Amino acid sequence: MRKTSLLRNFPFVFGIVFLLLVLVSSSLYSFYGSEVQPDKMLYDKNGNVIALAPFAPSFKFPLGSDLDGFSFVYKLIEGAKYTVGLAIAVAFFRIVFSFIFGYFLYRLPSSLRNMFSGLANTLHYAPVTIFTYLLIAPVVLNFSWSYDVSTKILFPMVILIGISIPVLALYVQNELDAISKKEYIDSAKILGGTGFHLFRKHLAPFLYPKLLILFVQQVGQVLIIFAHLGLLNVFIGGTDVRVMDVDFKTGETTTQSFSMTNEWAGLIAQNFPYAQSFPWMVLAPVTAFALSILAINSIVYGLTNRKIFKKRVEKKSIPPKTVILEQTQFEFNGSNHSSKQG
Amino acid sequence: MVSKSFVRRSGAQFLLTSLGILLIGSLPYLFFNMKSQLEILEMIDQKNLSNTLFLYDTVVFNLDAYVNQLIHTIEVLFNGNMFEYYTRGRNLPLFPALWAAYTRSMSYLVGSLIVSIGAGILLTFITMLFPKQTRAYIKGFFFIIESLPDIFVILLAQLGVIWVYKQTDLLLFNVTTGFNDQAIFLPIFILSLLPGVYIYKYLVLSFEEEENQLYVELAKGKGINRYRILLVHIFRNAMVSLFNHFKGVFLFALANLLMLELIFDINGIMMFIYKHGVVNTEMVTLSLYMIFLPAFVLFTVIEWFIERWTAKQEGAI
Repeated sequence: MRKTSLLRNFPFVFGIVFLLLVLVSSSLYSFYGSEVQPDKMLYDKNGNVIALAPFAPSFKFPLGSDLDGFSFVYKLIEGAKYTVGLAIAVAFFRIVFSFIFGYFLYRLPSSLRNMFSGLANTLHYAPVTIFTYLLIAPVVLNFSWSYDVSTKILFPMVILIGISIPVLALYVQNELDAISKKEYIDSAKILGGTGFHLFRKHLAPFLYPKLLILFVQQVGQVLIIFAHLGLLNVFIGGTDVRVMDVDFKTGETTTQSFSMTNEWAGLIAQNFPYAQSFPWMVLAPVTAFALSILAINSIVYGLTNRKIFKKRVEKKSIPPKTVILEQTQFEFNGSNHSSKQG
Repeated sequence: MVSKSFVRRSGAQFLLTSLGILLIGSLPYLFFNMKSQLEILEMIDQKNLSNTLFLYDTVVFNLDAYVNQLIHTIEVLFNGNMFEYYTRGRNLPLFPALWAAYTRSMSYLVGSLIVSIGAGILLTFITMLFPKQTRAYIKGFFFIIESLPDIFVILLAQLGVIWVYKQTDLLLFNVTTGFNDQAIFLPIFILSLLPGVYIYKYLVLSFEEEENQLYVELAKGKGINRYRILLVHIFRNAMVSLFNHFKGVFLFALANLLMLELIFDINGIMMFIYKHGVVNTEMVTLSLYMIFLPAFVLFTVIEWFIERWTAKQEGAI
């Protein structure tokens, strides 16, 4: 019954199918994808050069191409597993830690709790991206000379997880409070249930579905922050520094960072300087972000509005059932016998 | 009329959030050896140091330095006469620069809030005139727009204006900020898009809720014009819920502001924090206060009005 209602839930199915397709094709691509160096020039039938990379969106390059002539579709598919995978991992740890932290908040006296919520209110008065950036940038950009690679990858993840915990933990604590006001909690207490037992057996089970929705929402939030950080020039998936230009008089080199893994945020970061002249170079990764966030939001919509879809299913299934009932009533003896014989 | 509990609640909220801003502003000092790093940065910027390969540092947990920085920040904030910020090997006076950036950002923010509230209300009226089934489609359309990330919407809108210009030679708005001509209308318009949709969503919800109330039925029974019911009676009651959500709208617009300034290359307060915030934590704290104080006053006034309004309603009953 439950399964059918989720499967008929169009937004949910759309989101899941889209994300699965992206992730599966992304991981297949790294096995079967060709490593052909593409042409930087595009020729017409007579062999005349008609375009130089980056190519504008066309039938051959649906989302355009990058400076080397790689089609963005393939680049984005290749990068999807890192971006979406990382977002899922970060969102998962966000939920786990805020679940634990929310429980501790729930056990705290209410005066301390109110104090904490007042402090956490600060996080609303500027975009989350700014706070994240201010804490990540010293490691990744400003003082990047002094930190090693593992710090540069791990520390941003820790910050991305940590920055959301105050707000999410408060949400968990509020939900726990709301559940613990119900009557059956009182009876469980009278029967001798103590703190942690109550939490494990009576509070947490009601929280899990809400946490699932929260988790999916957080995947979207993390994706948005990734996109923002990309625009703020933070690479999350490792950088590959290429020498672009050498000044022969002074020997100084102009270098530019490239995203090694074709991770989407990195693609935005490295292409943003070209946004004015070749808009599709930024628009392509941003569109990838937008589509996956849309998919995630439609999963959230499907999960939160399940009642609507359930009702529709029931309405649809009622008329045929009544018809079948009438038929069996008419041919009660005959049909039963015939089915057994046949 | 103002209840004591309201004053106490707002006061506590104010103090706690101020403390939170202070704590969060200096947070880099907790995790990094900021003092030594800043010295190295200054040496690099002044070209006294060119090889950084021998330098190594780790993420630390530096409680002493953090507390010192907190005290230092408080001193700077209350003395007020030594506002300077470090950039590229020099210390520059903070004040005309930050103030200009701040007023620019705030004028965009206020302008777009006004536009988005106006547009949200207008769109809600138009939607409410349609029959319920058509409404579902309109709402579905706005659901899709609402779930798109701000960066996508802002980029697309900018490119759209450029495209229109290329096709028709008609420059709808100034696209980027030049030397002395400010792009004004387009940023305000684009910044108001997503908050407008957000307002619209909540207004339609509360309008539909009000529509099922008994007083609407009574008004219909008395033969009052449908538009009059919508414009006067339902509207009046639905506005309260709009003000309840105003805080969310404001903070949502604020969150979009960063992307707007980045994409349109506007030298606003968010760009200022982005460019100079990492090495000037006192400046971050100060700018956070500059955003927080007027916003908090606004929220408190609105909250007070709502409280008074509901008290009046209950008193009337």
